[in-house]
Amino acid sequence: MIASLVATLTHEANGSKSVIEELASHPEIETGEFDGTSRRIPLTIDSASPNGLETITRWLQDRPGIAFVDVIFVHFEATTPKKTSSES
Amino acid sequence: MKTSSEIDTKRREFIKASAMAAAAAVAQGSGFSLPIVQADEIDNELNWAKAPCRFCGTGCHVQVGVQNGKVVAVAGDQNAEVNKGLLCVKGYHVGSALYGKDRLTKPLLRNGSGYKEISWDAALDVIADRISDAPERFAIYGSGQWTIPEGYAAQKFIKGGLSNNHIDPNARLCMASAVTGFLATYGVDEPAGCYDDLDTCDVLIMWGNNPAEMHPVLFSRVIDRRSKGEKITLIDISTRRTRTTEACQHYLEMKGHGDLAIANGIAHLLIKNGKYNRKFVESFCNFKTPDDQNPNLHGKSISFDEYCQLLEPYTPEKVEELSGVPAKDIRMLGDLFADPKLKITSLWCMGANQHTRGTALNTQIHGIHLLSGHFGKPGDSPTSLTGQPSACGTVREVGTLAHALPGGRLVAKPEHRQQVEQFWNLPEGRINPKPGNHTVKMWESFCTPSDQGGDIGTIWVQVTNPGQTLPNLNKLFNPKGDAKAGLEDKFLIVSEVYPTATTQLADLILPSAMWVEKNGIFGNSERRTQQWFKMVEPPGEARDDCWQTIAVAHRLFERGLEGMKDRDGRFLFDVKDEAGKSVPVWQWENYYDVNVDEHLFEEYRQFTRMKHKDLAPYSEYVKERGLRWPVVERDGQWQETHLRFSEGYDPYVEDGKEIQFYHSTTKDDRAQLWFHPWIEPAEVPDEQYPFMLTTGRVLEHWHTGSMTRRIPELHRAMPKAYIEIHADDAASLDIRNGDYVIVESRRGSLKIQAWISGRGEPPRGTVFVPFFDETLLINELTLDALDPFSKQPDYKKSAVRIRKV
Repeated sequence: MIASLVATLTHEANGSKSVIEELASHPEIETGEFDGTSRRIPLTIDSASPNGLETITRWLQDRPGIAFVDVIFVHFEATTPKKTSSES
Repeated sequence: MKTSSEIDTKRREFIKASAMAAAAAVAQGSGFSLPIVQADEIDNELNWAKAPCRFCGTGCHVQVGVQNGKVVAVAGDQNAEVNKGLLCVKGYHVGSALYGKDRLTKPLLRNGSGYKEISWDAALDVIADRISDAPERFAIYGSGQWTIPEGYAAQKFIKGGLSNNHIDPNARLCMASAVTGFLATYGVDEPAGCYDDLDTCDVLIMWGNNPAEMHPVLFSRVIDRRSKGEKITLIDISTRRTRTTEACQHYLEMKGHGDLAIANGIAHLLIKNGKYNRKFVESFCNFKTPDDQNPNLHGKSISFDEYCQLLEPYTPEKVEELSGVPAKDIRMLGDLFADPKLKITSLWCMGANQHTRGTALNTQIHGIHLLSGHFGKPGDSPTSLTGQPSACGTVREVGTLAHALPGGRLVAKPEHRQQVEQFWNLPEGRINPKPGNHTVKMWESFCTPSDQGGDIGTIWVQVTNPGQTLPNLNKLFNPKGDAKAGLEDKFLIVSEVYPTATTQLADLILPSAMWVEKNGIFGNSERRTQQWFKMVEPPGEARDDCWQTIAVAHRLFERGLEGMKDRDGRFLFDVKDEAGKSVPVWQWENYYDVNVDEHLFEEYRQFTRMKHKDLAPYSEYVKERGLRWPVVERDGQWQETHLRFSEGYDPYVEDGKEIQFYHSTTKDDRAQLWFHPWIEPAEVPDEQYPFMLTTGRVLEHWHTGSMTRRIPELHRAMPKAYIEIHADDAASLDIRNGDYVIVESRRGSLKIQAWISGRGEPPRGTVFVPFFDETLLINELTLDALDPFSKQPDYKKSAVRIRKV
């Protein structure tokens, strides 16, 4: 599934590179442009798991320096696996 | 040729790019709405059709993608003037509102502590029995989420059929003060301006509302202009910081009822500095003050000099004392209104309406626009917004209020009753002249034993959730002592789509169709009437609310109830096909043999001309993304109206008049400028209850959350209600972020988690709790004090105390 979120930094963490680096290091997260003038960071999630959004959102909310997380956009994809040639 | 896997990859890349663009737009503050998703680029295997969004009063248009009988996609409609293809996070997920796991699918009759399934035929008999036994004790509690035909059918059934005016909507709880404010000022309801004002104003003032979260697509119209370099000043007058505050240059934090003083302060400065628009006032305005001996919306006429004298005490310093807003900021507002070169739009919603002086405040906001001449031109507009998708179209225009008839008519006026009886072909005298019970009175009466004056025995609730939204819920539904003593003869019917706090109280539950599971027409905040066709089937045995009303009416007709017949003995809802033959639309299998919506709408249209709220034929709305009334035919084209009362814009303004308030209460084409004094809120913090509780909504959830809490993405984004508390107040009570607290008023208490320095920031002494969470009924604590004219409760000011658990 594909989703986008905005993570808002706490006042104390604003400008902190380590917070951004930690988010960017997550294999299913892509961080968008962040110039430090706003406390908000745009993110996208590309997860194979239908529960990926929930899992990653909770992970984000638990990160030090993250005040709150807003979900902006969600796109669900079919999770039913396609039949292999041996099954059809 | 591309393989399917290459197509899928490209598609995923497009979606990821759109997702990042959306997040970036929100993060950078350049928009609170989501980017345009081209419906036909996503998937041209779907059937796409238009509809207004199911949620708020903005009235965004969406494109709904259907496949295999199911809504599978939603996109913003680029052809829609309201939203130009944009949607907010709720709008993007509106399709999912249909598919919660626990949709109601069968009629259910209470059986002991549970329910048993019954047939629709049996359900209709149950309702007909209750009505037949005591038609005068029957009431309908309706909604600003009713479609126009649904509200019209209910109105005709109860007022035209049962000679009973006990019909009132949930909009009594949200819009009633806006209505009385418009009526007292202009003699007719609803805004003069429209959303176009947001595209041209230089100054936008928010009076106690939070459009960044509640009307995000509208707010984005203003923010987008600023991000492109336009100079626009945004001013937030509020009791707490919100997302809206973050976008504003000026935040004026006020105490409860401070708005009354601020409005008077602006008027005081305009007059003292000689900066009011003398020509506008002398040409187009009269002056009024409340008549304490005979309180009504006409008041007492006063002179301009008397008006000035009444405003004398409201110096900036006095206003600072009353409101908490610094005198320099009052002067700033005065200077803005004094500048004739600026275009100023005022926006308000629940902060101004859910107010024990809501009517007064509404007239005062209109008043400062009239006094300063910031009226009647694009960008110069006092505009109240609605929260519900059709509070305007259905409640205010169809008149589904206890005192009203369609098209701005009143039950108390003989000539209005005669007109309606003629339109409906009813015997003379059928319509009852006595207004029915307004919302709070209706429910108080229902919850009072019959032998103690509880004159309402049966209520039929459609498309709303009073078990969560009425104020002071414990008084109504959980009184002390034996909760049901003396109420055994009462009967609650609830037409709903999901189980709610209200269905838990019901004796009969009727499963209802929702949004694009039925034909519909809504009317939004800018006088725009919007139509859609049914696109998918409702689940199980769920059926349209309009059908339910007509079916009950016909059951009574079969039993010989005279009220269900018109003057010629025909059924009240006699719907004919193109060949002129009556269609048995009360039978569900025949309901969609014809377009019942079109039949009812065309019948209703004729009512709309008296107050110059003309509607076009139904077929015009099928073609358009809505039209703003009055819609009049000129040179073979149906033309909508952007600005009312202004020459050149409003077709009913006579040539040479420039501005004409043609429904003036003083019959001289003038509006009324009201003076109202500041008074204290009905309940203020004291030693025992030292905090002021205000309630409201959040971006992710719409109203009571009965739909949005079942959309997984929205529920995850905001799973539970919380109490916002200032960090210093929290520290003094040893409360940390996430701690559970008990919040208690004189009426009830809740255990709830604290959120400190979160999305909103109340000042010291104020707390905020959103009302979307049915597991945390904050309205058990709220006050049921009412505005004396509109009978609307004040949800924004209840005194509470807090302690850590």
